[in-house]
Amino acid sequence: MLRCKEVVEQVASDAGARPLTSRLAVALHLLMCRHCRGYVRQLRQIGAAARRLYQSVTLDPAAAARVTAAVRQAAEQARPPAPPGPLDPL
Amino acid sequence: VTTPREPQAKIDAIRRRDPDALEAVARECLLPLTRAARAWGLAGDDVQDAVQEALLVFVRKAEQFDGRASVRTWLFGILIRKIAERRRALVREEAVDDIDAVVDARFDADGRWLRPPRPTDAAATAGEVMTRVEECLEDVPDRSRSAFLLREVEQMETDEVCKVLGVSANNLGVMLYRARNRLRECLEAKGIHGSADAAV
Repeated sequence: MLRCKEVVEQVASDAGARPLTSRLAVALHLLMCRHCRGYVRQLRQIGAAARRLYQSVTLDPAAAARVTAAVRQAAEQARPPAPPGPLDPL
Repeated sequence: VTTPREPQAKIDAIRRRDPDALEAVARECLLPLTRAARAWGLAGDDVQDAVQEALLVFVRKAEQFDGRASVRTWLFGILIRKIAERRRALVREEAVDDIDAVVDARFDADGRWLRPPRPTDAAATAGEVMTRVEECLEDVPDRSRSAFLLREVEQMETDEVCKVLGVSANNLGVMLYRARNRLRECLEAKGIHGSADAAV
């Protein structure tokens, strides 16, 4: 049985690749521990709030067009010169 | 990882600096980059400046793009370095962080809660929580905040986050642990997790 501190360590450092054994052990602990359930719920709430905050940022269309144009211009200037086309008959 | 993250045709077009391909990259990544720059604490014209600078560095280095990481991963890496330069912040991880001691003090010697988290305040609206999270993010050190944003908010895969930040999976775990606990402690201090009286 995991201790509360170990649950906190495993959940808070989760980078998305937690092994099944860890997930099962944590789930089992959570069934029996109200404090850890509360902790995990708060971390989820924080993640959700951060995602909402991030999604509330939108693009200013004029600024977006300026940046895209600057990128295109830089790409065109940085290109190697185009191979010569067919010779002009005159 | 040996499988390319992007289609070969796209990689080739980027490498030869095809203007259409690079413009498409800019369109595709503009919003995520802008959001990231904002979340990292830039405001006003600095946001657009940093994003444009990152995209222009990408154009300049396009022939080095090998597709082993996604375009987005490359761009986030460049953006983080640009922002760090702007703030002249140190892009290094501190060996110790006082948040570690704060969390440790919540447990007894057997690893049981001594000071359990306060229950969430049911009256706090989603908007309030969001505002508090924004305030609290400012106090999270740059490296930990980057890790938290890429993983939790941008929902990037673990190995991509490691590439962007140039850290091992273990280091990433430490950064996430610190960011999440710092945010949680900060919210609790601001009362968003309810008062002690409201416990149970």
